[in-house]
Amino acid sequence: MSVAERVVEPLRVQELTGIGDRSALDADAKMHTWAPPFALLTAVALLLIAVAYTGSRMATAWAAPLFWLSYVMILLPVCVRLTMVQIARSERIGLVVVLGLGLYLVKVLYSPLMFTMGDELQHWRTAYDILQTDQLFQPNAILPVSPFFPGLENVTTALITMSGLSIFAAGTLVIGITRLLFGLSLYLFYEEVSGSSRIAGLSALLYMANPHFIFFNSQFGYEALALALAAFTLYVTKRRDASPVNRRILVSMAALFGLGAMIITHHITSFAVTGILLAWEGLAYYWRATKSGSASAATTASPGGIALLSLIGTLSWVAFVAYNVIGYLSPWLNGMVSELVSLLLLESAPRNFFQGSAGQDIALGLQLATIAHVVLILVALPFGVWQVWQRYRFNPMMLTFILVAILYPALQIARLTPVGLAIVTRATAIVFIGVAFVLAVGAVHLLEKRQERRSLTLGVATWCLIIFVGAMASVVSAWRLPGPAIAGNYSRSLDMERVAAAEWSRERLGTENRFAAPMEHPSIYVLGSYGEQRVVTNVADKVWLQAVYSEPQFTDVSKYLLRRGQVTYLWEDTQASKLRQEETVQPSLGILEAQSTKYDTARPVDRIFDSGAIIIYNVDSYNAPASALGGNTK
Amino acid sequence: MNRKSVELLAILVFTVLAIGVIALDVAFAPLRLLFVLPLIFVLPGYALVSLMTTDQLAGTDRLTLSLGLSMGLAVLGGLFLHVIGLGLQSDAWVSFLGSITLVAAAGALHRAYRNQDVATAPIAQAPIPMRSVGMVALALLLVVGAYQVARWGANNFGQSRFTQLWMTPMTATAETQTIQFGVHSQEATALRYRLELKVNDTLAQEWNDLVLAPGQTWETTVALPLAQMAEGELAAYLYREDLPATAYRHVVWKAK
Repeated sequence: MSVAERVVEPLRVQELTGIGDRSALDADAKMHTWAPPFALLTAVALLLIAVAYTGSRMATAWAAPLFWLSYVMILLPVCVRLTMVQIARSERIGLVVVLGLGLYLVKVLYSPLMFTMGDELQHWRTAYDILQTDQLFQPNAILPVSPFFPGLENVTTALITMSGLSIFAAGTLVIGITRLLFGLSLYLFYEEVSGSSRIAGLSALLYMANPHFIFFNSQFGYEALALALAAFTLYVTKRRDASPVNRRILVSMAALFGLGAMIITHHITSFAVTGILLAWEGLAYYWRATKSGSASAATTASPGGIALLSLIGTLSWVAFVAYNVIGYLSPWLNGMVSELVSLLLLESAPRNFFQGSAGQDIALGLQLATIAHVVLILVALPFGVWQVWQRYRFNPMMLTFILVAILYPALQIARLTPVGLAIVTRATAIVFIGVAFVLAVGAVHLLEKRQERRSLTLGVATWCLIIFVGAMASVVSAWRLPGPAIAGNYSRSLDMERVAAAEWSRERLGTENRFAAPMEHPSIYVLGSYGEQRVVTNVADKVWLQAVYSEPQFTDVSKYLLRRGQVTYLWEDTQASKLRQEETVQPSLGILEAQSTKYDTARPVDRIFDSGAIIIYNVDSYNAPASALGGNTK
Repeated sequence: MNRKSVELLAILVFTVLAIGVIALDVAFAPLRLLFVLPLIFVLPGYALVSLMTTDQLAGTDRLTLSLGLSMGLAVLGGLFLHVIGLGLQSDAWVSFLGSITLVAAAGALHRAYRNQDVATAPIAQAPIPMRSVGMVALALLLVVGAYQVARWGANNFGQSRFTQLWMTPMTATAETQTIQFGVHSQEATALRYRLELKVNDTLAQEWNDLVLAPGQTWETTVALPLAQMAEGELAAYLYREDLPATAYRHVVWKAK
């Protein structure tokens, strides 16, 4: 036994090596499992959450407390059980699956009639275009990069074409099954790496405490599927080295399928997983080169060719198919860097953490819970890193986990800027793979060192629970509880009025009309999806139509931009308009009125639709060759 | 015949039935879904796992590998169907997934027959207590109930109430322009409206007593002489009976 294997040994509290370990499986089968009662409890909590959501739509005071109570009801038993030592592997897996699906259903209950999140509508459009044409890679103006990563839409449209389901129903089912695959793969990956079902269960639990697991990564978006495929790829890649020759073909094929599918599903996940695989391979190579005498096959296992294939596959896909992803991602990265530099040079103030997207203040309790979430992780992280280092430092995969986990504090710095926050939202899903494992190793070590004292077990379970509560507290308030549309609130801006207006445009004006729409408002996604219109955007058309909206008057510049964008219709959302005015002008100056009527007074502009919040103008006259740019205003 | 062979035979039969249900375009949606879901998410992967290994796998591992392989196949299959020009349509999908499942399951079955003497004993699996089955079934029922409650809440509360007014130019001749007007109500209750049509600020036509229930639409078409509108504008103002002083909605068409 090597040095590394000896130091790992004490942690193998409840070893189960998975495939083919018959004695362990036989023993496990005899143990009692609490997973079914907890599934029932979770279902009761979900029913209460549905009631809380209805209460929230009715603006009742009891909705929020009931929601929080139900949320804790889902988590508390799972946190306690997964922290304990003497429970069956099958129960741990069952609890991970129940929790993963339960948290997904929290999101499903939030919007049970249709997709309401902007990202979902972007992918709705890609799926719709595939259904219309039977072909991939159709242009999508509201997310130009989406058609070039069609993995999610491939699965969804397969289900739709064969079953006749709607995009919403099929998408909801696909993400649900994806969540099942994710939970299982994540658990098995952690178990494969650690050799401990307890560490695996706790790691999977802590992963789900990542703030974006509940809503952002549960939406009908390519990242949700890619993360599941990433976890599956990592699991089978790790399994590959430990497998006997007769099974290696199977796991190698599984790894290739998972990898290939992930690469054509989501860019950032592919980049991140490639990075993880390369780091793992690099560390293994270093270990083999420098410590070849004492290295065993178990500790120097590495992804080998899978890492190289991941690199080649990802780069090839970007180079030959999805090259627009560079133009899509680079402004975000540039924006984050310039904002961080500006922050460091004291040229700008950090983002206000505790202000909602509509500018409202966040309750003190939620602020404290959010702080507790970050602080509890940051405090425990060094301890976990130290434990992993002490016990597993000869294992390249473990060291890769450390490398990934220590990115977490860096991400917190990026959260200080608005653009950084958007990037952190995406990156957290990957970074938490390492964070969760490191924290779980630290927690299990602590429990073992103190002989599994009941008070300490409860302490660790409470720590997990607080992290979960903080994760939910840090979620945008309107994502927690549904209700009427709120001006400036991204996820609550899409209501039936906007959907109905978009559908009206499709039915009365036809599809694929070139529309101008306010970029800062999610109604652009309704128009581009349910409305099936061709929204003119800066990314797709290189025309910055936002100036048309932000100018106090309907100027010649506005007319020029509309003509340049070949815009036929202009969509005005009074919510967006109101916010824009609050940000840019003082209402007392009387410019508000000028803003709201600026299109009405423009001579060749017809006001063809009015539903109160949404007004549609026909501006096609500006496309006429004879259109004089200067003399059209009354 | 061992258990493995029975499983594989069942997969073959199920896949053939699924192909039949989809190819015959059976209209009963739940039945289609019952066959389509396993055909996409489980069966191809399960058949491939059975073909690739003769070992007994733990249930979790088999499920994960089946799900992951099936999902990967569906994702990559879409790309494959696109590249070979079949397109992502129902026939292409069912041929692709069905043939992979049938070939892999048949191969695995052939091997299972050939190796049945050396087949390993199945992994011990404790019988699932009826109480657990009952609890999971009850949990599923509660989830369905929760979904219905959420749908009911979303349908009945917190939705914006609104009325749409529109005006879309239709056919034009040398002398007249035909314009369609429409009102659609999504208010909480039935409302009484009045619609005024003005040409160059002069009342040209009026519709009183338009009563629309929630979800109801009223439409009309008006042909106006172009001479009447030269250099002017046509405006429609919608008033609610309970708010008669202010135009609730308005639309405008300007002569070009």
